[in-house]
Amino acid sequence: MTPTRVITITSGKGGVGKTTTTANLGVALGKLGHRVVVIDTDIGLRNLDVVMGLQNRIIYDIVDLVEGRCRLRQALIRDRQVEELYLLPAAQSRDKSAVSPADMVRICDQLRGDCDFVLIDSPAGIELGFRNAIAAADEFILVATPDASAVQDVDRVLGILENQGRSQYSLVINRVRPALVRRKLMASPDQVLETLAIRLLGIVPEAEDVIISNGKGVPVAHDERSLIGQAYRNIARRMLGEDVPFIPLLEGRKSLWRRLDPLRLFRS
Amino acid sequence: MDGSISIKGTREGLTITFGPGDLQRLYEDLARHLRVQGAFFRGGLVALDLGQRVVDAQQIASFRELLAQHTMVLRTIVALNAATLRAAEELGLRTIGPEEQPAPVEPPSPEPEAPPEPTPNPTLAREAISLAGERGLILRRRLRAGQTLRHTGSVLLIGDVNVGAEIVAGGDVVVWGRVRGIVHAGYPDNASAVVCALDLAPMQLRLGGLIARPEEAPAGDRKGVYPEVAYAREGAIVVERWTGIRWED
Repeated sequence: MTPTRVITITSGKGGVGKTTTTANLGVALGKLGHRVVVIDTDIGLRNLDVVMGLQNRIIYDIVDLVEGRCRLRQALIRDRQVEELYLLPAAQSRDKSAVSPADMVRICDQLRGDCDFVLIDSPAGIELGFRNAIAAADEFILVATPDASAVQDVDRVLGILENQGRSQYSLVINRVRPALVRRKLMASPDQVLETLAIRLLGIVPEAEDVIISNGKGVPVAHDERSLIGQAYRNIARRMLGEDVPFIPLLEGRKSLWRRLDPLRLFRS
Repeated sequence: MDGSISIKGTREGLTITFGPGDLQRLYEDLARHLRVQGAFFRGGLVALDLGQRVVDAQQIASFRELLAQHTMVLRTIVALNAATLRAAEELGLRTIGPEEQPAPVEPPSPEPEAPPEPTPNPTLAREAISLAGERGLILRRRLRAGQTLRHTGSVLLIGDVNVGAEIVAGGDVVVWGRVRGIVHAGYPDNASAVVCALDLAPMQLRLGGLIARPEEAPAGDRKGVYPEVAYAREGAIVVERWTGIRWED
């Protein structure tokens, strides 16, 4: 078995799609046959269970685990559809201080060797909840929408990670609206990358699919006909090292998207 | 970390004391420690206690650069050896020698040291900056939002200054890259300092006590991108395309 990859999905800013990204990458990697554990670290405001449609099945949560009321196996909830996808839910009561960075390292060390991926859904902000979320991670997926504040927050988070000597990060640009980009009313992925200068993992357009599937508790990555689902499945394959071309989202402006060669854009 | 480095925080900054041990080894230990703890110390002023060692200016400069990479400013050298103290003075650093010890280390003030007093003649003023022995700081990196690079002398940055990042320098600032954040040259009051950049579109530009803000146009809308220089003329900041500026005026 290859070593477990512990990856934190984070952004600084709230509402950019961290939880949606975590759930969909969990589903997409699971569908590719990998054993995946997703962890919700947003204690007090848990959401990942809802997006995955598992909220009714929670018996123990991460705080129960940390405080010794259950074993790790008991707290993991198996996904309804994907065989080897498990959720470690956040607690609904309590706050971020119920878990420490050292607790996160301990939990992830226990998972290492037992699964292929641990995906950690970070809360917004750069305070304790964020520090918990990044403590155990080997890699980071930054999520930004194309607006200036989201990009600046990701830049800030990258600075914090750099200062800690962390260097394995890549970017998902979320909720891109091609029509607005074409009319220069929204920053293009190129412009976002000019500022952030990290490896591009994927571009996800804004679409109703996501809202509908999040409401149903069935992540869109399940939907084989959805373009958004395809975007997430492509990201999962790029995480595995495959060279997957980017979907040409801007009809008539394909040249713009062809330039988004992830290899060329990769910087350490 | 090796036991021979002690880092003590005060309200004003940090005192790093080197115990016995090889200097190169201490450098590596400190570098490792900063990588792990860098975020915690960021932006701080540092006094470095070298004890009895003989350390030359180049070695001190390498520590200053290491600290600068973590956006910390080396301000004071504490040493017992006269040659070491002279080397520190050469670099324009504050020194605390044996006669001032073992009294407690003077806490560094919250702001970097002022550059030399500017003289009325701008050409002379520039000479005065270099005569003060303040070597420039050369850094190759990207400054990201929330990161501030402070240096008492001039700064050459090879890389971009992102939106929300900041350079504060006592002397001139040259950026081989894009400037999107804030650059303050000639801090705090030397308006004869200049800022040069390949692509100068800052949030704000300050020269000494002068402040300029670019016209409200997103960076993407600008006509062309070319190297520019910002300097003070008649009490205002002007930005000109770099076409071989003659400093003598």
